[in-house]
Amino acid sequence: MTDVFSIGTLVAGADHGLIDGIPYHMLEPNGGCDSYPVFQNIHTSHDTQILMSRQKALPSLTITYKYTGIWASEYRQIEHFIDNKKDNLNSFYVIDFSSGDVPTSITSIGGGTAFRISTPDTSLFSEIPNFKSNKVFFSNGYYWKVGIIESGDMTANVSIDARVTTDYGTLTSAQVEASGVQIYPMYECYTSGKNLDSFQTIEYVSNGDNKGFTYDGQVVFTTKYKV
Amino acid sequence: MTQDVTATFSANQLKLDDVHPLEMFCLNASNSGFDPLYYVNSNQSVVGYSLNATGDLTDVETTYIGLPIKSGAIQSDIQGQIPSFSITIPNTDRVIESVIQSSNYLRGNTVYVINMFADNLPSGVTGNHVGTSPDKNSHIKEKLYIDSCSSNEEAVTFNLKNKFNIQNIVLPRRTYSRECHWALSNKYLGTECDPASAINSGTFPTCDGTLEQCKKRNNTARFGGFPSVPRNSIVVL
Repeated sequence: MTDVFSIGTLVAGADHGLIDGIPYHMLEPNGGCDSYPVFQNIHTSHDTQILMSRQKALPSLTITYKYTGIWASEYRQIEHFIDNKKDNLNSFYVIDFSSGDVPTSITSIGGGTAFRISTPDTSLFSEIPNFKSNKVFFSNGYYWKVGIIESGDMTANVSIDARVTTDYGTLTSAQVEASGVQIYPMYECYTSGKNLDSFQTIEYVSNGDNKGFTYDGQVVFTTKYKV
Repeated sequence: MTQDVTATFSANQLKLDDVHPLEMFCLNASNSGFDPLYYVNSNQSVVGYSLNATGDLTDVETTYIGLPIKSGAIQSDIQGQIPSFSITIPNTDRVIESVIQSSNYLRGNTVYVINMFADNLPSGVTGNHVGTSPDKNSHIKEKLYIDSCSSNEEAVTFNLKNKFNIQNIVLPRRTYSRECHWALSNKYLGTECDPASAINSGTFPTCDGTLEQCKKRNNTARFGGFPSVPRNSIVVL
């Protein structure tokens, strides 16, 4: 397992990740999250009517994390992560918070090492490592866990079998199986570059643990593989 | 130049929508044998068919590395002009630089330019399999030779030409001209010029190809030129 935005390298049995040895906790985009597939087609049109269309490249997904009034320490975490990845030089995993789904049921199928997620829509996930979302992020709003969809473990629009090979996150097996747990797809992404430019300072907080400016801004990601 | 294509390719190229044409390249990196490098002009690597040493697509699957490759257009015209073509391959990590430096700049090596529709590529279970109805015969393939290459830190550009161009051969070999073709193509006293060996080679060791020279040798019946071909000149009568 590699790095996840914005906490860094996942640590077994812990809720935090590490960037250069510094622990960071999950920071959800409090201003919202958008994602949309980007299709690169060439159209030859006559006025408003498309007469011919050709696919130019394989489709990818663009994910946008928006932040509103986050603390300076939270901004530093994002900055540290982007610095660590050398802007858009290295890829990492991004959770698409805009595509959350509450499955019909989640049941343990391997003594807590694997879960069968029953859902009527499995279209975002794939057992293939470089296609769609090969990883699933379980969250009950407080704790989380990451599972890998391994080969041959998926039945289209019926169920996804996610294997937890290393126990990333502290969501327990009982909590995963409890109702209300949402699943999110995770994609291998690059940032679109120079995203920190979009962060603006808003108010200065002069006391407390989060002393410093608050920030507004957004980070845009593009998937490495086709979706 | 016309190309014979399969019915599947023909049907795909006539489609007005829902097609994904891919331009693929196979570059032979060996000066003596066949060491193919496979590239595709796409935003992701795709699984395609490998070529054998004779340049035929085989059923063996191989990964074509997805790179933003720039290429010119293969052109042909009714004047018989030989097509030339250039491809630009990104020089990331100096991978291509290393290939050209270690293989005499690949001059004379073959490059196959393969045009296929994504649907006809191999289907399979990896993310790089983009095919749905595999058909290795549904392609257009051009065989070109590397004439020269230039490289910088960003890209390597290969200039590709037809083999005739590289060997300085002009087609058609025999052309209409006022001078004798045999004399100008080093065939003086050869089988076309003097099959009966009637010309005294000691007296006439060379020939400049004019009709006058042929008259001196009493060989005008076998003159290889066309003296009445008009010249670009004004004749004042």
